[in-house]
Amino acid sequence: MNTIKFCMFLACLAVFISLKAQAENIPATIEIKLSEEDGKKNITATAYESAGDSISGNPIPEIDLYFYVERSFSLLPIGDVFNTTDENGEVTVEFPADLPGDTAGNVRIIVKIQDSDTYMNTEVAKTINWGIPLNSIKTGNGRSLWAAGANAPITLLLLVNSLIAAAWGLIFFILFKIYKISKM
Amino acid sequence: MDNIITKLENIGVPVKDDDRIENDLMKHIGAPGRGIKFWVFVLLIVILIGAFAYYRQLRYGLIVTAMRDYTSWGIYISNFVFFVAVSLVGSLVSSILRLSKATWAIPLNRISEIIAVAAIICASVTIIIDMGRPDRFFNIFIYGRIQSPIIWDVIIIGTYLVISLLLLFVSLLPDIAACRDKLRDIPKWQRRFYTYFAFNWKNKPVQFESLKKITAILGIMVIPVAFAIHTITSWLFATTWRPGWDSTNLGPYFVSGAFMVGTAIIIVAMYFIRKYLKLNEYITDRHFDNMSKLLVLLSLVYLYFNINEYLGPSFKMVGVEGEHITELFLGSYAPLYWFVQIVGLILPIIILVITPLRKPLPALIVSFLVIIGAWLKRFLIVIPSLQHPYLPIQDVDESYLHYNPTWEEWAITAATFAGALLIVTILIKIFPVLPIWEIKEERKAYKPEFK
Repeated sequence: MNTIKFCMFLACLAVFISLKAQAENIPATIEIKLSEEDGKKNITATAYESAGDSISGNPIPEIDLYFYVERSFSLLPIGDVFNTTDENGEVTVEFPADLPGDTAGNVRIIVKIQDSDTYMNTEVAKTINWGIPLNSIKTGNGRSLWAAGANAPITLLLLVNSLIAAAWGLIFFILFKIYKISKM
Repeated sequence: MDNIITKLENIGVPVKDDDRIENDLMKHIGAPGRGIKFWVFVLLIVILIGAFAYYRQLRYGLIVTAMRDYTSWGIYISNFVFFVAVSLVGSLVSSILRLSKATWAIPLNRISEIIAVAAIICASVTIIIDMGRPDRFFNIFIYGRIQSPIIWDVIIIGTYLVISLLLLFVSLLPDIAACRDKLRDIPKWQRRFYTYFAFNWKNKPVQFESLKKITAILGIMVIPVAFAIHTITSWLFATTWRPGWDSTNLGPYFVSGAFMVGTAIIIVAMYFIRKYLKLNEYITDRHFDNMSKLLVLLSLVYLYFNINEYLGPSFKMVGVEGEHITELFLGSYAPLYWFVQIVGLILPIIILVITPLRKPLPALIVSFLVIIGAWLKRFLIVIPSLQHPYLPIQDVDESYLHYNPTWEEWAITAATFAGALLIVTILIKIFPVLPIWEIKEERKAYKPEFK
């Protein structure tokens, strides 16, 4: 009898843990609107509760959203330290005016819900040409000390190869003289 | 006559006939005695332990070392810089002293050339040991960028190795022929070896003439190459943006330090060669006196560059550069730093400037201090600078912040030293350690009736 009670207790506990986990991992969706006003570039993000792929329509107030711009090796955080949504689930962050983009100025903006106690980790991204177009690639194509080996400066190539030729020319001359000694 | 003999002995020119000189300088060649066998056995044990440590490094990767993201050059690179420094001694004695007509240094030519060859071989090996993937060594040549000082270093090390080997071999030719012709109680393979490497040398005047021309060309050529090898090694540091390395002083600082440690190593080699091969008549107290004076001079030059290197940054104490200087002067590296500067640099100058102390034993002890100081100095040049990057250190593992070499690193480093000593031992054992033909010539120059 005690064994049955214990098994029922375990089953109830499992159901309770499962329900609690579901309650603490409510799916969410984020919508991003990008706008420009008086020369300022704003990112407005709205967080909604969702069921599957559809938006339920209930905005999520008082939740911290994290704004990033994708860089070459990591994500650059932008906005304030805490960007908390208002009663409409909305929060607006200004995009920095001095961030470089790709050659067309495109940057990828990412907004996340992360490490929330209630909602699942969520991420949305949008690409827009708000960055400063990158022109420095042109310099990388020229001959320079920092270019690839094939684009080494001509003067350096001449100098190094002349020194190598001079030193090894003398070495081969000496080897020839040693050979001549053996024939004397 | 007595006056002439005294004068010749004073300048290190033995007053003996040719046969006696040959006998004295070739008597150690042949079957090895018990002492040398034991010495080689000890060296081989150290090399074997190092080989096992290197096997572990190959098997598990560089993680077995204490090198991490910040201290990415550990004692391997300190050791590499040390060996490159030592290798410069070949150019100092057999080239600079020869060209400046310092005839007293003739008996030291071969010792310096042998040490130079051993050191540059071990420097090359150490570079490969430092590589995480030695199987990719040739990628340096296939994909290397000529703009990189590392490529310059690889090129110049290869060039210097060949020149050092040539310098040693060319001056050995008449002596190899002497071994071929005069040595009787040697194994067959050794006789064949001498016959092959004597290159048909017949002691003809025309051969000597050609030999002297080659030696003169090599003697002049080796000087810029020797300066280049250590200057480029210093550029590996000077072109890397770290505190302590951002200095225009680094090239001459490295070269002067190299000549200093090279001279100390020659004194140590002189002491043991003289003692164990019983060559007191050839390596005289006069040689120790002169080499000690040379060591004082080179130490003073190095001291001058040391003052230049540290005074400016320590006066300004700017940012990370200041942190680096504080770490050296007062921080965790202070005991090592002050040991190097006082015991390894200032004390040798004070001791050897006193005439009665420029004798074999005091010179040997002082030279050991200089050598220990020189190795530790390379450690201090490499490690503390790497631990003070200009970018802030954030969120890294504790092991990144300190550098305490592992047993594998110590074992491999000890093996490279044992390897260098083994090369020197083998070369001394199979070749005359002093240049017989040059000593004979010098004697004839002073005493024409011997001609």
